[in-house]
Amino acid sequence: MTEVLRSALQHVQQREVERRDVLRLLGMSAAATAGLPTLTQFASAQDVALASAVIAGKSDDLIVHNDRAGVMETPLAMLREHRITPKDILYIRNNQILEPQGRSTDGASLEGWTIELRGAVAFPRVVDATTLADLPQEEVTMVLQCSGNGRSFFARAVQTRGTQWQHGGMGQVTFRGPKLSSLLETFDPPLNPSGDVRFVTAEGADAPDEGASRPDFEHSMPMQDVMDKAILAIEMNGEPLSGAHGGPVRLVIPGYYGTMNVKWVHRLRFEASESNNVNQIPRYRIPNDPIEPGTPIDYTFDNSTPNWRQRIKSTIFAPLNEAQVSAGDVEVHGVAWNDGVVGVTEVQISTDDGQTWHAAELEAPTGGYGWYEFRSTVNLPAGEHRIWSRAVDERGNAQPINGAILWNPSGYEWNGADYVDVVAS
Amino acid sequence: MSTLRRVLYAFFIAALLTPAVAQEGALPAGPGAELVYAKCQQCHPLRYVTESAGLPDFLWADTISLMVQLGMQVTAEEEELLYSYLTTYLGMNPPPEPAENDAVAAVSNVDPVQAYATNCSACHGADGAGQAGGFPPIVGHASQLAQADRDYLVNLVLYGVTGPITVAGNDYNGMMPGWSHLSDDQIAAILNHVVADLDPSADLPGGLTPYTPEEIAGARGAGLDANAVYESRPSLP
Repeated sequence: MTEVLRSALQHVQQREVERRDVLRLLGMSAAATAGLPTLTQFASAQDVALASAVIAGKSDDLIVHNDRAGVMETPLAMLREHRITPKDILYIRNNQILEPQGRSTDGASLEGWTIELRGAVAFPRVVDATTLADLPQEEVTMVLQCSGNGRSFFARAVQTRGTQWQHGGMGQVTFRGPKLSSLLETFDPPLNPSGDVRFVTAEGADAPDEGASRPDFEHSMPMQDVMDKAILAIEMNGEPLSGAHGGPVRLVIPGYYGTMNVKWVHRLRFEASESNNVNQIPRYRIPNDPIEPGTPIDYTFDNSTPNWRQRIKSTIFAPLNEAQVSAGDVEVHGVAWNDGVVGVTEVQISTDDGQTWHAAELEAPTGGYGWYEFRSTVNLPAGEHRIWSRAVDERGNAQPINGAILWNPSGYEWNGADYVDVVAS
Repeated sequence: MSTLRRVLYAFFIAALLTPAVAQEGALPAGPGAELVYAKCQQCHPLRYVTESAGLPDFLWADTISLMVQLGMQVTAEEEELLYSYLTTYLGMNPPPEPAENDAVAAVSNVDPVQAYATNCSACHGADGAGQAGGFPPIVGHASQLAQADRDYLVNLVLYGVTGPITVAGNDYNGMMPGWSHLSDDQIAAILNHVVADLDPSADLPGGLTPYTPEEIAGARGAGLDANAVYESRPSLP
């Protein structure tokens, strides 16, 4: 291992220990901190509402980051219990919430919902959402992941701005609905966006708070991917799509980060340019070339890319961080995924901080957009150990050992190699 | 990590926080801390601020302007104070040692009008009329609550409240954080001001006796939370 890598690892290790302890202390119950009155008080000042009080039907075991518009994370111990993440524990990240249906995991009704199509189309149309159920249905099992997932780990280098997600701003779900391209084909004359359309911009029915000067939330995606992949999801996990997760209709683009999967979609614009809405630029972007951690960047369309296709990533489900394990053979289990454009070919495991790696067994998902499950056995003598996982795909993309090399001010798209610290005895 | 190391870390963190924490607040005491409590918790829990400790200065500046775009109402002076507080106390470098009489200065000579304006008006309005949907009116409402159950308002301010309520036929479903970082004097002064319908010259209605700092002190440490306070809300006619 080079000196540079060794020192980077050391730095990462040190920051992580400090951070973890602060987080644990913040999360400690009053009873656990009874001997530490100052800390109990500190914790009590941090209270937020329970998940079910923010969005009815959500499990109170979720980590609530924001109890106003609703931002909540799934602890890994819950996430790993299900192949398909149930709606009561699936993470939520709302910039704005559509009242009242966003406040409930109940299925939302298609009755009365419309989607407007406009821009460079033959002529603008308004689609009655109930007709979506009559079109050929497409089903996709895929990883839904907030582009901020893992943001807290950037603080190993320099703190970044936004919700301090750990691992659980993601889940695996099955969406169902017609492809957007199928809808466009039903029009007579066909509503074929003209050749100079390069982007589709999606708007949800949610709106900014009163008094905000910021424009409404919207995102643009490349036309080609939208035509190839996007579905107008009306079901999730075999049920009508819940209001909490964007129902009755959500634009879903498999392989893309969660934010691009616009909830409560009610307008699609077919345009030659990417939107210059604040949520398209400068928010939700990453630099094309790495920048020094802690330094600013003025985003332009040319020097940056929106949070579109998910970076390759792996997450260790077992053992969990700080687990006590029996010395000897220990089973390592987790999931890996990427943008689904090519396959994940390998997940590598290391127990010597990256000096040597071995390949785990890998089980590919159906369809390519879901979790690749990996399993491996490592032999751990008694003592403290760090177990690393690193995914590699067909294009040779691999997770960086030090994820901070992709540092960006808002901490998007963390995909550093994952690790857990365990004690074997 | 061993139990011993955990405990050591606990005391390490406690040592970092204790000198800087006024009352039960989560923010290090310093010029501008009150403004952070007052402005930032309107839209998100305070943890977004405390968990962001260590942000580079440019990102704090950027964050403030982002929040203004999102609807935060601040004057130019307030914006400057927020920036100076956040970069000094939650910036990349450790915060300065607190001055010895910081806490003392904060509790003496409370001006209730000023205290209400700083801490309450952003949500409940300068005139106490509230905001449709989110935050109920103070005028004509706080005094009713105080008369029904005087302890309720004390707990409300200390621990916050969350849950749907109806006041004078209007529904509200905002979320009020706890304000336990304020001093006993400040909370008593604010409560007396609000039950008098924000009229500094008015007597307290319905034979209410003024809230006292001792009364506030006595309610601290009850360990309630916003849900428990909601459950205890008196029903009004």
